[in-house]
Amino acid sequence: MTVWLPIVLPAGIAAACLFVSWRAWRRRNLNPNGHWGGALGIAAAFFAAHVVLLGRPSFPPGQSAEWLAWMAVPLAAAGIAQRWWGGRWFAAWPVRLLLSIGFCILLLRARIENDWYGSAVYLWIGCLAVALAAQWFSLESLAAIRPGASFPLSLAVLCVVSAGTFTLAGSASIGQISAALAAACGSAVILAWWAAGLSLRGGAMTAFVPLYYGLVLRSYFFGELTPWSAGLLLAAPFALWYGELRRFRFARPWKSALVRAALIAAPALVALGIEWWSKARSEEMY
Amino acid sequence: MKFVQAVFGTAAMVLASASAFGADFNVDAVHSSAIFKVKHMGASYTYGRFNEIAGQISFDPSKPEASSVQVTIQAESVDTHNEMRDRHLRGPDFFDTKEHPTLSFKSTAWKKTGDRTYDVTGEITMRGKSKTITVPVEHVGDGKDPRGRELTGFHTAFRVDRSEFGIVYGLPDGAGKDVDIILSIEAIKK
Repeated sequence: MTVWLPIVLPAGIAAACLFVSWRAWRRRNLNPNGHWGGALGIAAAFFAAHVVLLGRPSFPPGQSAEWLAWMAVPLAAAGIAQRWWGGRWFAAWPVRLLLSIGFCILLLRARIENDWYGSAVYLWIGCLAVALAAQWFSLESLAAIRPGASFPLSLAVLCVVSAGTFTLAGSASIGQISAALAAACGSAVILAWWAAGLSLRGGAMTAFVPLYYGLVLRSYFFGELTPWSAGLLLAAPFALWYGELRRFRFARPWKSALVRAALIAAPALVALGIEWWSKARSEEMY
Repeated sequence: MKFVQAVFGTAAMVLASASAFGADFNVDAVHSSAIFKVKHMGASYTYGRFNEIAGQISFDPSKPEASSVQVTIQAESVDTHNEMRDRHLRGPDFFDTKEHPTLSFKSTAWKKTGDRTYDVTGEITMRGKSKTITVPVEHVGDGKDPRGRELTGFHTAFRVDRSEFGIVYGLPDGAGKDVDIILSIEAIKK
């Protein structure tokens, strides 16, 4: 049970939040605009995984892993607020960009203090923040037009492949948290299959995107994830747009879901392959 | 005249010995070691070391409570005779060296317990987390190197629970929770 707890607990928490907020027992008349449970479920699952795997994060946070865990709390609150009170202001570009800059600074504080100087700080933080904001908008737009199981399935596939990639890159603890995030998305897949029409729009991506992005940044900047792999993992969610082409959009639901899962998995699998290859070349397995 | 020389000679010797009693030293990285061992899969011990040590010691055997020690180790210099394992140890699963480049010990109190032994209480910091511990320290001896520099040496062996510092990867069976550390320090008088 101990081995499975970091998977089962986040999955259970996410499932409970999604089930209650969506009132999934009705199975009909589901609100296509999503519910507050998406953000809460994903953020709570992430925090629970951190507690089970790495212990309760200290407050105030002293390291990037703890910062990331505690960020789940305001991200959940922002996601809930976005759903309940509309949140047009929150969805605005400048707001997202400012939040992305703050997120990257808090997460990469050690690199800023120890390794980067002058313009390098502005360059790194600026580029990373723009990429995060772009990914936020991209996945929120996709969540809005893709209700049902296919969207959370794509995210679950991304997190599973990323978990393997992080582990091969020497950051097994980050990989385990990514697996927990996959389990949370997996809960949404099961619920959406059972009650078609469930949607992750309206706040869920407010929590998911920075938390997943944070795992990639941690594995790259503090672990040994190669630049190619990091780039591929961050680019993978954008591949979902290819699934919106006419010929895929009007395919049968199961076919369309598989295509989307394959599209997001492809770049992530290349990243996994890169990490596997660089590890397999080493003659010093231990 | 001989009497005056004798008086001044004796006074000089007394002053010299007095300065030897209360003196400041720099840790000599070449002749100092930080070694650790940890259980692997419950079957055996794996040994490792840190290759970069620095620090200062202020030692006064006549007044040990006034002594102090501060040792800093570069976490990046971890060496377990396997490059892949060393890279893993430097990463986020263990020492997280890019975020926490150093491990350190800074004494807060010295207490004499025997002829050349002391209990030194201080703050050990690993992976950004600090804990207060008391370690038994042996003052190994004093000496002079070929260049005439005065040396002093200390040795300590103690155990830490790595989970208290947030290093929980591989627990409970992969790599043991208890890490036995040996610090053998040689220091050169400033």
